Amino acid sequence: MIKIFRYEFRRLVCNKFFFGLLAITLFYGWQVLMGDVIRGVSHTAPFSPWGFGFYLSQVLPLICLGESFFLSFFVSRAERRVSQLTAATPVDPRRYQLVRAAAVLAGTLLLAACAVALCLGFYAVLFHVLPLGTLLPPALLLLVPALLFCLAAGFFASRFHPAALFAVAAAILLLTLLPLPGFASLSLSGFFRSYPLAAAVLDPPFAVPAPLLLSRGAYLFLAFVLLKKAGTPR
Amino acid sequence: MRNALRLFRLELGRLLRGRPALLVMLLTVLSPVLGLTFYRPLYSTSQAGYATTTLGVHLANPALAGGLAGAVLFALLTVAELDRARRSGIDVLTDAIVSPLTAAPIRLFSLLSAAALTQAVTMLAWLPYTAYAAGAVFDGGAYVLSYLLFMFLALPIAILFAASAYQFTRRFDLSAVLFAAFAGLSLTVWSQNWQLCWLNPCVWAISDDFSNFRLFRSVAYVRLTWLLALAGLYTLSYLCIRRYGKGLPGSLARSARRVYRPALALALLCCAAAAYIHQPFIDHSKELIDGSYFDVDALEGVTCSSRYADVHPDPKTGRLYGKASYQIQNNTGHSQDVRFATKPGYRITSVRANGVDVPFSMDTEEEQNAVRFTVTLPDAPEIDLQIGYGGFPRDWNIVSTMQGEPEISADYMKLENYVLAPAPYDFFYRDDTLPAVMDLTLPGQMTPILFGDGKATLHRENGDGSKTWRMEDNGYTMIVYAGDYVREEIEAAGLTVHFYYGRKHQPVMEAAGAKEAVRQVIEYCTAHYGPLSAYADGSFNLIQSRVAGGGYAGGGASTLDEIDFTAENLANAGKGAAPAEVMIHELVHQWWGLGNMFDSYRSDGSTAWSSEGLTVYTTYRIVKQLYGEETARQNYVDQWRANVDGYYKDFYVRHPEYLDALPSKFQADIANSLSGMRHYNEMPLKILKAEQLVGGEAAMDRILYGLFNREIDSSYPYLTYQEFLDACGLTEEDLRLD
Repeated sequence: MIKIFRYEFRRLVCNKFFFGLLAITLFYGWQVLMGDVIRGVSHTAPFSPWGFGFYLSQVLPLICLGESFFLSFFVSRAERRVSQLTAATPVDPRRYQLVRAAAVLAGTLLLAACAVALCLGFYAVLFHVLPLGTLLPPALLLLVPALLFCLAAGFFASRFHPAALFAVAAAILLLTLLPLPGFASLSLSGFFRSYPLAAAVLDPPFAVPAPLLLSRGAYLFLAFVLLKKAGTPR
Repeated sequence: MRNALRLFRLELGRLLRGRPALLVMLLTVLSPVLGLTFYRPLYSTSQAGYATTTLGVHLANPALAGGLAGAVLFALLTVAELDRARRSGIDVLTDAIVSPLTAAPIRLFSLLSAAALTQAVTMLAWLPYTAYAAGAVFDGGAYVLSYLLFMFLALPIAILFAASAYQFTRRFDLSAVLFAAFAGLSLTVWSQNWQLCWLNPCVWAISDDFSNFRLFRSVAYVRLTWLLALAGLYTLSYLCIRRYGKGLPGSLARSARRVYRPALALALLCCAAAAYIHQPFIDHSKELIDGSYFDVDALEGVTCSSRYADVHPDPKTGRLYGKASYQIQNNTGHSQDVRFATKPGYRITSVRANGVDVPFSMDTEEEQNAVRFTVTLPDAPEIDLQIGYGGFPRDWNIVSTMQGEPEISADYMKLENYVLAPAPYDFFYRDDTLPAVMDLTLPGQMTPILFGDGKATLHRENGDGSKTWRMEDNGYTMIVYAGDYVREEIEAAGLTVHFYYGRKHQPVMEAAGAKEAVRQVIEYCTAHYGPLSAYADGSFNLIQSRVAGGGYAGGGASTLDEIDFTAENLANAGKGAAPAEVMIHELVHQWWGLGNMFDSYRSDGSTAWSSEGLTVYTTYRIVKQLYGEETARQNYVDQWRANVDGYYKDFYVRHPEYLDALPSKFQADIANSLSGMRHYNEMPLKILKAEQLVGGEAAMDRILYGLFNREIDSSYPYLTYQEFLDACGLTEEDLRLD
């Protein structure tokens, strides 16, 4: 299975589309850093968890689109043509699906890691700081539920029709871009902006209100349910 | 060619019969409705509810929303249509029948034609609504230009980008991602860059009463720049259309054999880059606003005794040309370099001293929307210096997202200072005053209004229907407004106000009781601070300007922003906006700023003391009296507090050591916002605190009355912060804000 994972991962990452997406994400990320983050989000330092979280929330839609794009590799016409052959191999289809999901997730994480590295480089060069410890919680809060949910929803929808993947991508884009209440928003950009303003102290340490944590939990739960459903043969 | 036309007709017919295209066209026609509800990008003058001009609400917002939605829809349609043959697996067959290099432009022009058709239907469909809703201020020309520039031009840009993305990638999904990123950039990080926001142009307000050609020109320029760039990108992608089963590099190499193709792409991209770099609308002033720019040491031995200018604005092109002459005395005994300031965008065509050409050179640096040039005066005691100049005046770069001035059209002109003529920069008047005469040639239907206390008289009528007006005033600069104005006289507290406003605005002004509001402000200020004694004839002008987001006051005149009194404000007067705020503010400047002067450039930077502090405070007091305590508190005191709090909480204010790490542009932005915040928010809040400490409003009014009517020291006639503190019996420490 490790061999299959490596193969699928290389397929996703070692192609021009990945590099195209990476270039778009990094360019967009740079614009966000130089446009909004550099001024400090809600009176906090650009390198605070809030500024970092806001930056990630802005590039998240592109990362999610990239994830949908990776998924589309596995539901393309050509892929469906060879599915008869792969189905005939002695590999457990559910495990095979899981390996593919892991490859997509790994590819997406690589994309996200590049965006994170860009931001860290920005902090290091401009402000000479690299507060890795304080930046980890917002990254986990934002990326883990969002990427898993996006993956699961994409896998689940593509079982019915390949085009459904695009509908899911559009829906996820709306979930990240629309000014939804904090608990519903996938990108949490409103949370990263509003929490420091509402806090009683300046430069509040990173904290997550319980309802928001629950909503992330709900997204994770939904992701696992959809992944389970996606792995069940129709 | 005939075959291409036949194919185009076939392709267009096929496209228009397809359900996806019809759906996209229908949604695009309906999309302006979003601008009435969800997407209203124009600036709102009210904190509590949405308020802008009538044409802004019913024309500009719908057109901008239509452009945004239409661009997204047509981009998706483009990608879907280009991917159709490949998706259906018939691309091999279609490519065998029609060369993909022929089919691609045919498909592109079909999509562009569908977009044009959609736009025509949209404009026809929304015409009755807009005409009805805008009422008396509806203008057919503004309607057509708004829809064409704000909406239509977004569609071909989107189509060209989507088609290019598809031709590069040959993937529906990746093309959609690329377009999403392109649109996302425009809507977010590029939204404050007037040249980059291709999808949502920087339209902040549109005038009801006067023309909007300057704004239209700017939007058209941005959109045409993008069209050039994307035409270049499309041509480049055209070379990448896959042929003979080759991949991207192979197809590119094959298509590029005809050299004119890559040459055309390169030429288009270069033209776009040149158009971007050499835009004519915005100047390149230094980022940091330095108050000492106009605080110059005058040259010894050089003076000016009079000036004259013959000025010809061209309403068709928005340009202005003129010839200015100055009577200069050079008593230095040698040739002397002197400096003048003019408007960025102008070119000095000739400089002659006593009929002989003299050398001159333009500065490369621009500052505060001015550019200086140096003239070498000959060694002569009396010099008649003549300067030929002209061009397209540029806006200051700090207002690049709020364009619209200076408007030069057949409906409206606002010609300020250097727009009219160059002004001497580093030498002063010979006598106490400088007689200034200007002949201004305007279209026959326009009447000029001279801002200030000079006079304008009809000098001659020209054969081409234009009229030349003679302006007589004092000083190096003048400000002239011209348009279709109504003039009314308002008598208040012994003053006569010549109130000028646009004819289209007459019903709104009458319904709003604008005259009464002006009278109330003058009577308030006279009763609380004393009568204005600065004007010998007891009169001054109040001029309604085209929507400008603010105003100003000068000797003998104040402005009133068009947006002060709008039909929207009237319809919802209780929504919390302070109606006529700009008018009140600028009228109050007749007392604080003109009646009593403040030395803005020499004021102590640590106190932010200027005429704005007392003017903003007085505006708050008038609004409180006219519209109630709650309105005044919400719109003034709460806003001051929020802005001051925000400022002191700002990360870079608390940690200035990090400010040095920022690029100079950000440092300048922060320094400029600091200055504005302190003058308009911190100082009024301090005066409010002083009011509480001295015993309330009545006590503060007595103090301000005393300051306004104090004995003026002619050697230094300015009202200082220390005088204010002394009059209040307070110290700087007492007014420190917590």
